[in-house]
Amino acid sequence: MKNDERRTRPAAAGPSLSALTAAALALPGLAQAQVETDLLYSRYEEADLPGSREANGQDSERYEIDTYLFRLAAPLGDQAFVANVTYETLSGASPWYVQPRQPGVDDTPVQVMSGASIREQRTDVQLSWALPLAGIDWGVTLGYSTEDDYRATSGGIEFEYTPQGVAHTISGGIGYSYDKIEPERGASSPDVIAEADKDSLSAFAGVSWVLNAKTVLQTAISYGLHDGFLSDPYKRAYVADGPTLVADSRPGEREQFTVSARLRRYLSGIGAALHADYRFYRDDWDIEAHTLELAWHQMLAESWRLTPSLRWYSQSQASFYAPYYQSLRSDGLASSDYRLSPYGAVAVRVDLRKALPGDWEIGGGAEWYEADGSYAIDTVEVENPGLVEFLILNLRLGKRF
Amino acid sequence: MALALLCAVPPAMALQPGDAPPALSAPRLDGSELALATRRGQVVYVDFWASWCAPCLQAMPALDALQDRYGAEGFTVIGVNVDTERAAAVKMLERVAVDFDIVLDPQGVWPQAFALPAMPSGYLLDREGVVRFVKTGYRTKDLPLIEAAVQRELKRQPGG
Amino acid sequence: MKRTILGAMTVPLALVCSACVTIEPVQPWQRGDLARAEMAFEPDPVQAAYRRHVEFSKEAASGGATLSGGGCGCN
Repeated sequence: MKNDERRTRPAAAGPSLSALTAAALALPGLAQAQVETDLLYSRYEEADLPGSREANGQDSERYEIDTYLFRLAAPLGDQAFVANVTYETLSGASPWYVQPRQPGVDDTPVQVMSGASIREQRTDVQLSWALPLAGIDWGVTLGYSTEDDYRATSGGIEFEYTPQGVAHTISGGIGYSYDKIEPERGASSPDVIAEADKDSLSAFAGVSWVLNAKTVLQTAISYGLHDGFLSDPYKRAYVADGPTLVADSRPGEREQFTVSARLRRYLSGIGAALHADYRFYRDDWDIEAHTLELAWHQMLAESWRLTPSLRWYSQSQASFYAPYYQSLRSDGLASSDYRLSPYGAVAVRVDLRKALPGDWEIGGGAEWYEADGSYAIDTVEVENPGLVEFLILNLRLGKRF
Repeated sequence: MALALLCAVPPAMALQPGDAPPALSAPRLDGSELALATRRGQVVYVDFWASWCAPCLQAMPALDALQDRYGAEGFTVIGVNVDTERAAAVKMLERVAVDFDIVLDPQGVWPQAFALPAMPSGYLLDREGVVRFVKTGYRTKDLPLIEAAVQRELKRQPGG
Repeated sequence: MKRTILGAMTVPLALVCSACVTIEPVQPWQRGDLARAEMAFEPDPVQAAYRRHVEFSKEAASGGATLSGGGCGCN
């Protein structure tokens, strides 16, 4: 990935304690009856960036990722052990910087892509151990993720507690990650920094309520603190009054807050469960975001499960973001990353799973995702030309022992 | 709303040691009726379980082994299934096969009478049908506690 | 456009909320429906982990009722 943009933030890819517990909440214990194994293959393909949005006027291929995820969850008496292994190969070009189409003539921002496509791999291993202690269910997770130029070591502790005789479950967790990046030099990054690192701390607390025999609600708050190198070493920003290209430069600290709610309602008449998730996000880079997700889990003829879902996302821009700059900001910050730009996104998904004799399960699914200024809550005056559109196809196989 | 939820506790009159459950009966899988009163004179462990309750399924083989070990001395287990769908119970019993009596109580008459505080729950009744030991929840470390209570009750003479 | 999307998502939401305002005590033995696999907050941990990872690498917002894992230099 020598020529490509890099991203330096912690990934929310860890297994969660709620995935270890038997079911929704206020239900007995961590114990699971069987050993569960799952294999998921996903093909992620970004749509070409149209020539109309590119500085050179030509369509450009973007990212493609093949991902293999393997999960093993095994009961050990009252305890449980879970391993998640991810292996992915990535290739393609990505946004490098944004400039006016014709400086001084046409101010429309257009994208300049990074150089030639280079193949890269990422391996991520997460190990979790769940155990009951003093009437509380605990989960301990250790993780390690490695790429050609990036390494992350993480750990966390979570708990779930259901006081006897009440209809709610309290949960919480705290995690830490140390990430180190050693960017590689390439045509698009001749003067890249040698190495950088950062520390990330995350915490959450939530309460799950049994509203009635068919409805549960979880409300949660979360906090994230990132300290260190948070810029993208492979990206540039365009400054009209020169120097023309400057390194992507973001604050050295970021604080994030979320408030979220997840509702699950069982519709026994039609054998379906409706899921509604909402999250409000805010950080001290001035980004506010809303995420709303609806999923319909329909059981069909005992052994089939069809799950269509719809997701909507909207974010405002980071305070220091601009598609390009007329002159350098006094604080020296600069980023034209579309992920810090104002936009909205819509995703449409469908998953189908079928249980087979002998405790086997097969399935497949598809997701189409499109980011666009018009999907945002607030009017986006200038859309970043690098907004992404992608298609995901996946296949899966599961076996219980 | 929070207050309403906090107040949503199970009935306060949960059955305690010294209490006696009312006369109860329920059908076995084959349809034949099992009345609790017919077990008078034996030490009975009434175990409440459901197919959706993972620790319940952990407890059942352990309780089956206890009945094997102490059955000759007059110990018996009754597994009260509270699944609302019979098929769910039947399917689970194919996986967790036990020899002790299983009764189906989809309406929840028995757990209501015992005022069950949690799932799973188990009640050890002495030879007179009086509750002597209550186990709420189940972890593997709880088995010796249950076994000790069974031994204690078996040793106790009727009326003693 | 956003009006259409929000509008389309409001209908099922309203349906759910009209039904869930009834708060009733639920006895421990009456939680069979709540224990169904499709009623879990995260019914599909593998798929959920994958999606969180993709969303994380494409969007500014992250976080929720799960711990963040380690970092990545993903695109």
